[in-house]
Amino acid sequence: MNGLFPHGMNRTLAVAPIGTLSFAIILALVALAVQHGFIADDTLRLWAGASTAADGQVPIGRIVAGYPTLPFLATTLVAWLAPTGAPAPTLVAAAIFSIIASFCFLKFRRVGLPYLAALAATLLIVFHPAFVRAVVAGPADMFLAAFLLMFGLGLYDLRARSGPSEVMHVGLALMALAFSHPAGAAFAFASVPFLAFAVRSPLIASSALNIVVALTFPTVFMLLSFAYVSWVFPGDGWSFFAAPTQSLSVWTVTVARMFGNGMVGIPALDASLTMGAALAIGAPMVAVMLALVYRRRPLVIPAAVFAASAIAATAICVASKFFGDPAAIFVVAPVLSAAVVIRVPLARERQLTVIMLLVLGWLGGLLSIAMVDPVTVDRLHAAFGHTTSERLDTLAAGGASVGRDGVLADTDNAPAFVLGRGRAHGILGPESEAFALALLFARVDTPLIAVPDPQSPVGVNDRLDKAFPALFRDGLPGYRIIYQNNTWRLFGRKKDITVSNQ
Amino acid sequence: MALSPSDRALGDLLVGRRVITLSQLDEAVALAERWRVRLGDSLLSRNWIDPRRYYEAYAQHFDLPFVDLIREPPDKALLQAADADLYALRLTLPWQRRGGRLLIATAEPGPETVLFARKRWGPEIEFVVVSKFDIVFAVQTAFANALSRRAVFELAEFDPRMSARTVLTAGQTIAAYVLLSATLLGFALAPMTTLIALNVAISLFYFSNFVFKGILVSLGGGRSAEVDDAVAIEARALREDELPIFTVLVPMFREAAMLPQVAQALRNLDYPLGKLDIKIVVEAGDRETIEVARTLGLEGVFEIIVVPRSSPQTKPKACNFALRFARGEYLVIYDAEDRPEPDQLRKVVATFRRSPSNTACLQCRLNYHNANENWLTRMFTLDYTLWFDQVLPGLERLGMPIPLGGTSNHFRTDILRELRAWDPFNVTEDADLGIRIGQKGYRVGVVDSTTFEEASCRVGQWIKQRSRWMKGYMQTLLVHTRRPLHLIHSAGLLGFLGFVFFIGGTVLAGLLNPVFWLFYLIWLVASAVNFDPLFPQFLLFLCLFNLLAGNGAFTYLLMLGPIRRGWLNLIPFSFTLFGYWILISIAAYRGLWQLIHAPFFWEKTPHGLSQHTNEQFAGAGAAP
Repeated sequence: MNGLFPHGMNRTLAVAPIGTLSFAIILALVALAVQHGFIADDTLRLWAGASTAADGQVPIGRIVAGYPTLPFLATTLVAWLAPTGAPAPTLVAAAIFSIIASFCFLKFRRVGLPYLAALAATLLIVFHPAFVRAVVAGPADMFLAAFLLMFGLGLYDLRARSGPSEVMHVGLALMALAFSHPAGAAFAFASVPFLAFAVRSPLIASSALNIVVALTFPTVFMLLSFAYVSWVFPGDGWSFFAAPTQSLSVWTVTVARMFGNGMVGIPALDASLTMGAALAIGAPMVAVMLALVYRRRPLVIPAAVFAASAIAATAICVASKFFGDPAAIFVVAPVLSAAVVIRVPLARERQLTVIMLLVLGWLGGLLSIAMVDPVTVDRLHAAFGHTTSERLDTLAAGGASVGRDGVLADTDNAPAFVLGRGRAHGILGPESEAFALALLFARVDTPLIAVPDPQSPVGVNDRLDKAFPALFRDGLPGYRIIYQNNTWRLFGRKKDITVSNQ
Repeated sequence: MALSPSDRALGDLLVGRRVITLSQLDEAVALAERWRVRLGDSLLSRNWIDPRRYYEAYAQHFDLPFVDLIREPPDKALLQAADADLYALRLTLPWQRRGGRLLIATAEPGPETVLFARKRWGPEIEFVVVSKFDIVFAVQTAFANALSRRAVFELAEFDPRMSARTVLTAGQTIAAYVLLSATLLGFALAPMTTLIALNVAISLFYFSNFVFKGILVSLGGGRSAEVDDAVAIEARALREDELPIFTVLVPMFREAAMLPQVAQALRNLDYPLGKLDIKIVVEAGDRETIEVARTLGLEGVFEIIVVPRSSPQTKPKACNFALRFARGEYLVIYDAEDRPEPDQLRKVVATFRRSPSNTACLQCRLNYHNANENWLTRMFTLDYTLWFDQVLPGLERLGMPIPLGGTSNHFRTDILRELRAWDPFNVTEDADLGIRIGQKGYRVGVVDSTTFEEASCRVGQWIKQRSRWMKGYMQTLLVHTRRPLHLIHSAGLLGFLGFVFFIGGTVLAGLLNPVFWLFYLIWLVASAVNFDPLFPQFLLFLCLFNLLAGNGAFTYLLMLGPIRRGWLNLIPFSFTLFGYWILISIAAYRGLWQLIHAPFFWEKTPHGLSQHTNEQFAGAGAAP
């Protein structure tokens, strides 16, 4: 039967519920997490940065040179378009999530999976703990997941045809990965030695180096362009790539602690082994299917290249200390599963086995995520363990500033303050002249000052606390406390308060 | 199909007169049956028989007199210029009147010709047999001036708005004047705002141009390999007896040395030679090529068409002239240095059969056989590979007008005639015809078969050739934007934009690039702040984006092109694109200058300069 609607519309109608449902579920899930103060640091920074940029408080040069570029630009755009206070990063992450869910379902149906099997496979893949972790972690992780899927499927096409569009597909996926997430950059970097294996042998025999040049050109060119733009505007060519070493050191220590003193004692190797094991446990279907088709190299090699790149990227993250912690790479487990279901015919023939293995992978994912991202798991426990976190205090302080303009605050150090307030408009943050003058002349004349307790973790790096060590405790002449909680105090200028009272 | 009894008797006669051997007859009969052609066609295609002796025997077979039309030309009073096409097509014309009866000269005696002639000239007729070469020669001689005039002016008279004979129409002149005046007024009243507005317009053009090309390449690269494979299979499966007559035009000018090579390339085609109607089209003043063509001993399927002297002396005029003599259902143009892939004509027939009925033309891919000769040939190859392998399939997928390449465009002959063929005043008549085909409601398709040509390997020659292309693009742009609404109506908005970006964009980018390079260089070297007011922040970012993403995108697109063919050694040369762009800009300015002072001047690209080509001459001899 041709159906009631034209073919294209039927397809849209078929995926619409999947997309809408997954979007709604993720929004609810993230809202719950935020309610408990569980927001990833990266998301917080991104959210605050995007809100500030969307309110026109960041020079355009800084926006263009911001990193990770794609999530930052997307979130800024959504923050600019959405109503004030809308959770822009969550909307972006949930949108990407629903697109991936719809895409997977559509592809599964197109390759011949029956409706229920396709639905089950889709749900097991997109609600895999690694995916859920990614969506909670924010847009950068979701961009990473999306482009990893593009990369994975591209590898299969590259092995099958190796034509210009396939090379372009993989090349652009690598570039997008590098500008989505620091771990994506590590992945792009790590995949280079393996790419040659994914190309058809006649081309490799012709010139392996030149084909790798074609595959990596977009990434290298964009990297150089980005450095150039960063050099022209913020003034330092590589300033966009601030190595997030703090998260890495926490991650390395936590992972090592999990295995006593580590497995072999070399951090990069330990991390790789951990990621390899996590992938095996989190995606057993991939291992089983590839074992069954091991003679058919075009089906095995792309997946092997993909997995090898993920493991190598983990090692590079830890060894170079340049790309932050590699926990985000774990999303490879469900992504690779999706690619195998789409590209390996046997996976469609043995549907029951595949579904069972995906269930096993889902359960394994719960275990694996504790292995590869213990920091998040600890934070999750803390967030849902009914302990009052300083992040909730920061959000509350931001909320208390709503309705007042001219709030002097170090929002780079406490991005949650911007989120609590809902928008950056009215905040005099580190980009503002008032903030710079306050630090330079140790003199403040703004209507409001927001400072955290210098003894609290968030207060340790607060620049206002450093410039005015007694500010939190004693306030400033002409100011009085108008709001306080366990971590934050808001001081208001007395004359403004008097005027407003009159 | 079994040979007709008449042809069998003719074969016996030829053997009896010892014109051919028995084994040659057997083979010729087998070929004629396999190809579904007459015995004469198979014999002439094998060069086993002198055409004159064949037609003499043919006359004897029908018990008719044989006449040498060179010695005894037709009575001009009996011939009518309007019927020239008919004479050439039917190989039959009124020769002389004797004793109250009209003598009809024919190269194809038989019942069909008798019926045709009686219908055309009445019952009081008699027949004489002549050689088909003599008929073609007689028509050329008798109607040299009329056909030549028609070849030059037919399109301009029939559809003047589609002809480049008028460079700028009155409307275009007024529009240009208004635009220029408005700009000057802007400079007088608000110079900075005007400069910024110009800058914005140009930056948006650059941005759109590379986005558009990127989309085309992406779509072109995604062209279905399954469809191409299916066409290849269908082409191989075509039986020789179902293949139609295919006319091949080979326009040549002072390229005598290339003739053996192109003849060999045509012999190599996987197509029944007896079904090829090959016309070597030469200019009347080119004695050397005419002499070589006559003495080379080419098979009977090759005909020489001599184009009378007239102005403008261009390839399209020569092709228009030769078109009158085309007998094929389909027609293709090959240049003298072309080497089409052997299965090309079969693929074309297969593609025409599976294409919509409004398909007027199929463009095959062009590329170069001397790619590795030097830097220029490598860059030219990259350029052509991107154009024909990626961009044109992209245009086809988007349903946009396709500017045809210089050769290997295969037409339905009847539609080509209906369109009044090529514009002899346009120096890129091929690109113009492609757009005109779209404007007239027909479409152009793309076939996955390559013709290899010789790339210009000397900078001077290359610039001359590219100048002509640039000038032709300017002519084409001017011709087809005379009625923009009509173009939008016929090609659609997407097609209109595609045309403007594809043809106009190529020219404009060539002209504007040096200006922006200069700006950038001054800004970079001198850290000039005087430009700052010209670049408000949003514009600065757009320009910066264009500079980086544009250069990166074009380099990358160029890099991807050769992958399809496995020519990976060319990839590193894409990094030298900037040098190639400088040459393009030089050619663009030269083309603009020529458009102003010599719009119809055709700068011929000499061939045979390549070392690679010269080496191949040795392998391409005369007829086997």
